Amino acid sequence: MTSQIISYCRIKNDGVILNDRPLPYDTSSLKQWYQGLSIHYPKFHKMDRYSQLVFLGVEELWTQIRPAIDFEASISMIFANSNSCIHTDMGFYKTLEKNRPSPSLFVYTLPNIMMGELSIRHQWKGEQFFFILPKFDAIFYYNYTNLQFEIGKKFALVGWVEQTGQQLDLLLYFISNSSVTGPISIAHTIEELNKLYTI
Amino acid sequence: METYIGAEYIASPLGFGAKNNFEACKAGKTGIQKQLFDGIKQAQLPLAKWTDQISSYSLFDYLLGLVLEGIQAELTTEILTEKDTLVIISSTKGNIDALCAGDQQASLSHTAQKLQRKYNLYQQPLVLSQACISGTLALIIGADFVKNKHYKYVFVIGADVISKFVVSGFQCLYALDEDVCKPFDQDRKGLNLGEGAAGVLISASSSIYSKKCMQILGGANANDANHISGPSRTGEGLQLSIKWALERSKITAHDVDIINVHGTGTPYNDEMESKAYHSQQLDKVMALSLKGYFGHTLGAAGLIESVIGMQALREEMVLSAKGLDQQCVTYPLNLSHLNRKQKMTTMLKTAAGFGGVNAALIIQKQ
Amino acid sequence: MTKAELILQLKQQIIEQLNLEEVSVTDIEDEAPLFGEGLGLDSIDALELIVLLESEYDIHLDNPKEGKEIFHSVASLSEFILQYQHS
Repeated sequence: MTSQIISYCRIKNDGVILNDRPLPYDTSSLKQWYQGLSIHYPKFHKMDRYSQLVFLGVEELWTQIRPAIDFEASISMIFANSNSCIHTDMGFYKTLEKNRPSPSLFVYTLPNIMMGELSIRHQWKGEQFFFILPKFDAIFYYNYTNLQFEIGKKFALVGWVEQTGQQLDLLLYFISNSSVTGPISIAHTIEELNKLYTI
Repeated sequence: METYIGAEYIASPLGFGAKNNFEACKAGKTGIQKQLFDGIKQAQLPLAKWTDQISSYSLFDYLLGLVLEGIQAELTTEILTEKDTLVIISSTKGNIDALCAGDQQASLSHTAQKLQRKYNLYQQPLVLSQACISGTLALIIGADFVKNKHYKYVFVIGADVISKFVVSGFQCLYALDEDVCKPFDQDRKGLNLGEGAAGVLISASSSIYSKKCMQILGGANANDANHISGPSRTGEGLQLSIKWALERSKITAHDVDIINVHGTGTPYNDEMESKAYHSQQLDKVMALSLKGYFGHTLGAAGLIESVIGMQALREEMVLSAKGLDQQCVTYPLNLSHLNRKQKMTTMLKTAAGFGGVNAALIIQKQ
Repeated sequence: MTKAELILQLKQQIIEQLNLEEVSVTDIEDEAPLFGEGLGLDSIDALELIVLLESEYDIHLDNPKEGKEIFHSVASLSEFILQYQHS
């Protein structure tokens, strides 16, 4: 069975693209985006910016495909970026310099916490991985996602989650290795992954 | 196809080399000692930390190189520069103090690039950063890569060092014991932080190892989906990871001879683990609890502890649970106050961490 | 500062420190439990309240367990602060 990208979300400073269509949100105000979703999830406001971005992107993806999927534990989350959570590290470091280290900020200085937030939100208990790569690497993503399918997984939520200075650079997508389809269907190939990244 | 693991190495305040570290543990030594540390405020803190400077540059980068060389020294052929060799680095925060002080070259991806240049690695090293399961998970990933023929050889190495950043973080979480940690004890109050590094080679070929290697049967990770910092009260994620690890290894709980536990010494973690093992009918199995020797070495912990566990399998010797006096968890584990001689072949290694992550892995002596 | 003023100030500080964006001062009742059912605060929030006590009121708690009763409600927290300031 060939695997298909069934929904994707690209987040940059100049906007958000969901399955080829721009969303009417300004990424400089994540609160506004959250409000646009009409959900009640007060924990959102406690998250660091990485988790908030990933949370919002995945909410958008998930509303597109939720009716089709009942996957519970068979999903793998594969996330990466180039500098772990340096923004949150610096935030915690500032509280440390003031001699008032913030416990909640400290917890978010682990990059996998953003996947933990998704697990809590959606009750996804399956496997997850957070890698540090020098840059977006379609070959790695392609190979590692296939490895997950080789060991029996049916779905993967894949993410490149980068914040460099003020620059946002996120790509989130769901891949199905089953008969389940989504609003879009893009062949899971290195070429297509690079195309999505250059959107 | 079989997947082998061996050529193990450890660098810790207890010593250098897997055997030296195991001998130190056997003799009842611990790397943890009270020392003056400048965390939130300057105070005496029990830490497993080198007291003298062992490297003139980044200790973190130095340790990773040391481990890589230590593993290579136990192999019959030089394979570091091969095309089908991958290095996986596991760490939680790497050179975090230097990074926060403005050294851009101190990031984990820079460490990977430096290691690649220094050892002329064909493949860029892959960095895994997944809280306190990093080391155990890196072993699982390495085994999956080899089993599914993505790479022929995977060096899995991991390190974390004591930093003001991490010590202060755990201090403000009130997660540290002011005295030496006491995993599973009635008076346990928290963990002690440690630094160190360890590594192994995972390979499809058993002939690459100078000494007798073992098999890595399989592993899995699972999320509690409950809280980002507190362990699940029921240990659900750890239960799931154990269940899946056993399934993938095609064995049952009855086949497990020893559990190499996570056991940090925080009240909630140890209680959570006891519930998870009980639910999987594993609470009667002999248990190896190692944080009292090495402290909690975070991203290196799963590797250091797996390597010590492999020495335990080799020597058929279960180490005493250092720091334990009176055990107090809902379902007591089979921990010992003394070193015990014991025939055993199959080990379950577990880990849990922030973000609700849990991992379980099976290693078997041949 | 009167107790009523302190309570109002505490509510504002708690909302800010804990990022309770969807909560306003009028949503927090003086006597209602802050944890569990009430505002749904958790263990990390309790530790953030310890930081708040230190930074805003110069009160240092050695043992987070002491916080359990003190942080029961805004009323109990204000009483603790007033008592501390008068002792």
